[in-house]
Amino acid sequence: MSWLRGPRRNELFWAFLFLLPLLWTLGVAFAYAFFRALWWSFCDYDLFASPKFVGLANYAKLFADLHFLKALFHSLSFAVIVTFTQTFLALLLAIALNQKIRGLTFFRAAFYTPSILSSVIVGLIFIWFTYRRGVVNFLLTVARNYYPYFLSFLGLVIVMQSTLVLWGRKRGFPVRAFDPVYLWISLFVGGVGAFFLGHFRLIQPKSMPPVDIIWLETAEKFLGIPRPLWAIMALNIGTTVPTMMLFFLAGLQDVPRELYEVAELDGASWWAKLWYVTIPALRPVMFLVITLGLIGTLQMFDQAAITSGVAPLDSVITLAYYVYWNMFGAGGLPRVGMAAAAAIFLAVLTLVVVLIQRRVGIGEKAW
Amino acid sequence: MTEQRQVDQAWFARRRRAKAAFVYAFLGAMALAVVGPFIYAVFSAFKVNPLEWPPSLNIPRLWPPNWVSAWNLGIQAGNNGWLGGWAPGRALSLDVVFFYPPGVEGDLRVEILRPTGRGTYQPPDPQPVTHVEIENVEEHHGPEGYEKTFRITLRNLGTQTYPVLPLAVVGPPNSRFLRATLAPNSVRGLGTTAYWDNLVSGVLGYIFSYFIQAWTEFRDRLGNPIFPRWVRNSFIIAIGKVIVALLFAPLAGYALARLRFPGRNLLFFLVMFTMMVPQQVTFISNYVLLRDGLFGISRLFGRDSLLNSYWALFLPALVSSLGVIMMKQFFESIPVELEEAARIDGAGIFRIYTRIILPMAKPALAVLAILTFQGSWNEFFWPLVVLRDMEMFTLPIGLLFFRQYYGAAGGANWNLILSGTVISAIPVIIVFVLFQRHFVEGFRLSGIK
Repeated sequence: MSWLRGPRRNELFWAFLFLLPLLWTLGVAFAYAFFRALWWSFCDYDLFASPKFVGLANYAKLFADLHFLKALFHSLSFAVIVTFTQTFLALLLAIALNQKIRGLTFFRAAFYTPSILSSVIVGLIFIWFTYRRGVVNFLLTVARNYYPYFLSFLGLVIVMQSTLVLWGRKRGFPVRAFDPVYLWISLFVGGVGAFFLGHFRLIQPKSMPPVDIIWLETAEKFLGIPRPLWAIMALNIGTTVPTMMLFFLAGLQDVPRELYEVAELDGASWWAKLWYVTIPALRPVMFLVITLGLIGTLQMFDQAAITSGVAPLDSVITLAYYVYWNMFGAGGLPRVGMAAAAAIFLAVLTLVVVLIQRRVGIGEKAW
Repeated sequence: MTEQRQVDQAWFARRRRAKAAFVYAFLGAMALAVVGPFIYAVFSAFKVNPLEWPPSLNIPRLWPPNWVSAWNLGIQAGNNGWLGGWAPGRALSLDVVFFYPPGVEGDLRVEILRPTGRGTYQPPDPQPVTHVEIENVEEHHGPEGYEKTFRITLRNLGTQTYPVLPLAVVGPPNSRFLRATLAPNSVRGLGTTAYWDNLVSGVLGYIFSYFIQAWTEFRDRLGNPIFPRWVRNSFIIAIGKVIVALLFAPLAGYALARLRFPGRNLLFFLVMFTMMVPQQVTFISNYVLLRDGLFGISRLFGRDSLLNSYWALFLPALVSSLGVIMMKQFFESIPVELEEAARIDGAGIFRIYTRIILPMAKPALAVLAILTFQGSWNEFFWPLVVLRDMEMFTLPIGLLFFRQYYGAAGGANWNLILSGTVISAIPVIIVFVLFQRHFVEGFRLSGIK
């Protein structure tokens, strides 16, 4: 077999050459860095004096550090709430909108906008929107002052729709409660009706003082989670749901029609079809979406760093930001040991969460 | 109970169309909710105060009659309607209308003051040598008081052309500014004082004044504008990274996809694994690595530390895991027969790679280039760690600094922050519009962002 040796060695040589840049990145910027961080997490080190081995002291100090405990709580709740909510909402929307959609390119372009722009742009606009006299509070003020309009609109729509549906059924049409043709008519009537009620002063906007919710510059909490973090969660969910919905929609288009037809032959209800056909078919997509969502949200850094200029540190700190803060943000010498310990902790946490998710089996393995 | 009527195809078709209309309306509303804030931010970059309450879409800079006035003033001041400038000997006049309640008397006072980025006013540099004439040209009496129209004529008595002519028109106490030929930039002092940033800006200078201010006003110690430097840094780094990625990622991807060598699966697993480990783990060591000049190698080239340089942004992550995975998947998808045929013809591995593989990989390389450009343009964490001097900042870091500087509690100049934001978004938007298909492809390959 000596004739193999020449070409084989040749291939090995080229493979090594081709992989050289990757080996540099993996070896030095990743593996070496990983093990150095691991080593420093057992050391007392400030970037200047040489590292002193202190055993597990840094890890013990972490769990005595209030900032760390807050960061841990924030990261975990952020990951769970955001991943769960965005997956659920995206799935719901995809199922509701499931049909052949023409002109999807246009909507896709719109939905991708927040993803292609930098997190700083999104974050700055977010800060500007959530000022005390910002757009968010303005919209809330409008909603509060115009609630008579919304209520009468809603009332008119309900009355109109029920009338139309009852009338349609009386004439013997198989009309559903949310019959789309009638619903358009009802919405139109409701809108025109609310306009004229306002025009003839039968209803009037309230003039209550502006909504004064302080979104970022506050340490207040809601359900144990600081309000600024809730705001960041809402931002994340709002910017991710549309793109995620597109993923689910693409997954739904791939479900074979025959499956539904067979289910219908067996007399399956809408719910049964959803539960036994649609959801299982979406499992691979769901797995991918949840895994990447969990990793991304657990390691959330950008929004915490960007809003920490406005919001109090304790209200937005996350594990990733805690690491950075120990290196550069805390004042005084960098606490490399603490930063490294927290970073290793974050890496292990990510691994554990992803493994648990795999074991619990929300969705099947897609790759 | 009426009996079920037999309905025809058309009845169901109407239902389907109405439902489709709901789907499109909903998608449209969603698109508006996602894009709306960005569009509103672009409009607000033209506002005097983007934090106004209530927020409105009444934006003088985007109101065409003001463009005409700005053009006319530019012509009067120096025959340049587009860019303005105040030539020696030229005079320009501006009509302002003030409201005088009963009992209020007195003339206007005119001062030449320039706004600073932090909400205060100071004389411009150079201070124009000016002759000012104020003439009361019209009076309207009403039940509550009277409206006085003044014509302010300014003549350049100096010998040079001034690029900027700011103006503050101060009415007597309790009077109120109503309107002027050119809408002022701000009205303060309980309505008695109207400020113009620049009367001789010309149309372009008028419309884009905050963009120009954001671009030029903020300067480094040597007096050079700093924003263009940030744009330049971002471009150099993004283009450099694209080149590096195009060189190295396909090499590694090809080796992992086609070449046989021991430990191939382990290596690929390691690449996948790096995607899961947070950057926060590796950045500490990489920071120290660059500070020590890559094991001291940089000392050979006369540098103690590579921090705060372009090198710092390139060297640690020469090849991105995502790029390698993408390229590997692509190479695995093309049929192996071509290579085998070439190999039988006696072509070497490198020759096959450059002559056969790379030309076929053009679409994948386009995706790689675009995603790399976008990723580098938006990169936040690593530049934040290694860049210390303002001159070295990339746009995201610079914008964050902009917010701290201009958005501080006292003088919130959000129009400048938003202008900077808009400028920094333009390249990525252009790339996205041109190559939307590739983006979608890339997002699909990379899972989700």
